[in-house]
Amino acid sequence: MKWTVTSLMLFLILPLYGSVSWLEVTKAPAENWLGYSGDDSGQRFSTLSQIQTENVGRLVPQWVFHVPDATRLEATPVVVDGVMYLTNSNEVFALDAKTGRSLWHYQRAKSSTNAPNRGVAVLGDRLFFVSSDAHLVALHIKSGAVLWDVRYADATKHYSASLAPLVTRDKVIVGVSGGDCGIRGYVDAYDAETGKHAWRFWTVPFPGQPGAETWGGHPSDVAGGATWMTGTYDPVENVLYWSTGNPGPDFYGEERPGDNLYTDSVVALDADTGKRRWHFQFTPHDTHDWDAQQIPVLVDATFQGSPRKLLAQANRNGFFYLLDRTDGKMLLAKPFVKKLTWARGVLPDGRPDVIPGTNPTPEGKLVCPANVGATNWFSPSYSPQTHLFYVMAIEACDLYISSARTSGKGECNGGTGVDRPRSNTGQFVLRAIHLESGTIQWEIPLASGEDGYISSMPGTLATAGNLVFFGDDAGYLAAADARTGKLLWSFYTGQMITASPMTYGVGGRQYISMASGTDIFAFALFHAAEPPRQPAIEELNPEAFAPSKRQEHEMKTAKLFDATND
Amino acid sequence: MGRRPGISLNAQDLKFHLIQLSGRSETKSYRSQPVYCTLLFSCQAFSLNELETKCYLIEPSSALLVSVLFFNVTDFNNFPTSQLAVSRAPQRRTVRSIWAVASIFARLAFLGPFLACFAHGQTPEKSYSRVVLGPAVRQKDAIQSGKLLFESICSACHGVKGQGGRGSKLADSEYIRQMRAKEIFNVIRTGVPGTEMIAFPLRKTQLGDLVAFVRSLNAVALEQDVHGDSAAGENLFFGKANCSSCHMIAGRGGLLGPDLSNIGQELSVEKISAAILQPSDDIEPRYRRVLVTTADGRKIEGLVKNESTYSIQLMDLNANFHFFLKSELQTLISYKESLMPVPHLAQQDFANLLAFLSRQGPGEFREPKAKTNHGGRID
Repeated sequence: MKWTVTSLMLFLILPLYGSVSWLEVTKAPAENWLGYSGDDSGQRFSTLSQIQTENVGRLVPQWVFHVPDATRLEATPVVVDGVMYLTNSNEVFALDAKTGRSLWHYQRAKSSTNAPNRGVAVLGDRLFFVSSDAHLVALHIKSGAVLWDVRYADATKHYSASLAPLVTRDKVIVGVSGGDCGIRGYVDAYDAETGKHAWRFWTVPFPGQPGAETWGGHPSDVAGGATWMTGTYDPVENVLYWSTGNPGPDFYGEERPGDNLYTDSVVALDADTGKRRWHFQFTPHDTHDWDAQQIPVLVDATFQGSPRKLLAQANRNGFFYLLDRTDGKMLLAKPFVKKLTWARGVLPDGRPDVIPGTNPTPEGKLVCPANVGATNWFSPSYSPQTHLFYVMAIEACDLYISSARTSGKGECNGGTGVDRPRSNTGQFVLRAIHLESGTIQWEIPLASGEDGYISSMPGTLATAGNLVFFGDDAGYLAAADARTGKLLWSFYTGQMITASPMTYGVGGRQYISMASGTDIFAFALFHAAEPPRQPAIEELNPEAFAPSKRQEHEMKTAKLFDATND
Repeated sequence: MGRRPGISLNAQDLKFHLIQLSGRSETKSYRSQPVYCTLLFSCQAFSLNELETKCYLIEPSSALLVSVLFFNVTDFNNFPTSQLAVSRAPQRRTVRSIWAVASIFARLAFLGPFLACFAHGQTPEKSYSRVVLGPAVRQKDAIQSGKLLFESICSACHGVKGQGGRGSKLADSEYIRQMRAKEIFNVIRTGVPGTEMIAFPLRKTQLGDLVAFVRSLNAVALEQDVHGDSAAGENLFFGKANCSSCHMIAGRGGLLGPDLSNIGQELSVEKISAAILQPSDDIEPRYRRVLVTTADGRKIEGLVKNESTYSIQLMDLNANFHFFLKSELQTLISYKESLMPVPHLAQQDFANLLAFLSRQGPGEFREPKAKTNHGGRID
């Protein structure tokens, strides 16, 4: 029934076929999946319900698309009217979402900068994506032709880019990577139509500006505060919520005394001007590289009896936070991992109650969570049906080692790093957190990969079929009952899971899809296929298909030189 | 976005050309040492003997000195195309003799080539390949001597103009264009086992000359001279000739034909010309034209974006996508002709259009990239 209704809705918006208005991006995803998290809220919850707890056992692969140049795909594909847009570092593919067959391929000149890519944003007839050397590129959604291309950060100064951009009603918002290598982070906005620069928000103040006192008065140009994950957007308030990365050097804090604003924070920015409305810092004066780059999930829900505009984040530092997103006040903070040794809890004002002696030392200090965090960039999801927040938690600790070597400008210096004892390799646990209380409703402990170390990056997806989809460290994509955590289905992808799942609909069928390793997979409910049948084929001029003499020559040449390359 | 208006070259173009011509393997060293690139050009200027034009014989800093002293050229922005497009090898005897003296003077004054090579962290061998295999294509002398060698050794199989025959085609070939200079060099030197292409263990200078000549046979339109008014060609493209109803350049135009924003870097002038005059001769993949009839009788004409035994993906003439399983179709009719009509243009208009298209390349020169070493790591 629901399917019919959504189909009808699709019919109503058909005149907009192939073009995405900004209003559509604000709706919870159905057939289309219009951004990194499916919509602007970051909930990663789909209203599609054809695949349900009762039938998910019949989920079977439909197609696999291999990306030859990929090593680890980290993108969430975007789907618009039956066309899937998938990215790898410096390349974009358009695929027929029903069959996985490619329609066009955009390949940017190879860059020596090595950064993953997490996908495209879409607005109108254009796609937006970032190159590893920090160009923001607008492509035509039908052809992949470049409409404009702006360089928004200097790759020669350790800036790089990996995030999927975010669109507001008329702007494209991007952030920068490189926070462990001596950059000063910022959020940048560009006019979607022309590529003209609109505003910039620096995540680290300049000397003399408000906030500089949190850096001992002298915030440096290598202070970090990268913005390497996609933020979220409240279209009603016209406010962006962007999370920020760690201060630098990562593990040595002596040269940056103070809280180090606005690192490891979430900032609320006016989408038109980039002006900061408020900020909330999760980890003041971080010395464990705990970027706050987990999706800030926007939820309108009842909290303690009254309807509130909320922002939820399961942070890398081990606490699950619930904020009032109108003013940034903390409503709740509860640990979501058991291995948490750096703080006793979070005080009512939002500051962690830090346990002394948990900073890295030259000899090494065992602290939990690990450097990878209690979770990381891979997406959580929230189901308004179950009021549960699903997050991939990591139970792990690291030996944190620091050194006093100060950072020079443009020098990649983390202030040393971490070591993970073999005896303490860590484990992924899928946890369902009750939004209003922060309590863990259920959990699924997951087996580790073959080397026993945390190395994959599996995210989650919640659907209206009362399902939660997630990956694990051993290379499986799986589904569980979103209400109870009962495992219902699994599929071995044969490679490391490095992305978050998503879902879309085309031709009356719901698909589950996930990029992983070097491939993207698509699944749907089994239905007996009709035997392939060929149409009557007519060639208006058959010799048009015989290779011309010239082509024959080129083929020969190709063979010759292929042989020489071996 | 700084699209190149005409055919004049500026400093950025020069760098771009060097990178284009130097091939992938050498690109990095040029990028890290842009100054060196300009020095190499200076080197060419005082070629004394046609067979001894190799820059590595000349100490780079002396080359710079000489170029400053004798050419008074420090600003590449004002460097006319004609001087760059061909080697600036001496045109007049008097100048030639001045260069000769200057060159000897410079060699005495400085420490010599090998020190210079080491100073740049290069072994002489690497430096050799960088110089000879890099911008050698611009060295008229190398090309000339390469041509003579080619005619005596290679043309029997590959044709006088590299057009192919018993041997493979070497002119205007995508495959050759994608090969690094060093690869071409090695193919000639060691041959291709299992084929009639035997090894030619020539002197390195000779091999370098051959490589220079072969590469010159594969210049793309951006590197070739054109005779036409690019600005007038642009007006035609977006106006009377109606090209932009199907083709896009720099974000302007239609969707049915291939995007031409980089066409000057992809094809030679000859191929662009052929593509306009005989559009059906060589239809790009993803632009094949078909007419399908669906099971319910709808007829859709469009371009085949992809096709397998089981499915077909079309873009119709309104640029909408249609995806079918083959079993959903009654008939599938393939056209021989491209959707593109042959334009009826006056000779001058055609030349102008060709000039405009030939200049379409990367709109913006991309600065060298620093290697960041945090790839693969979680930020």
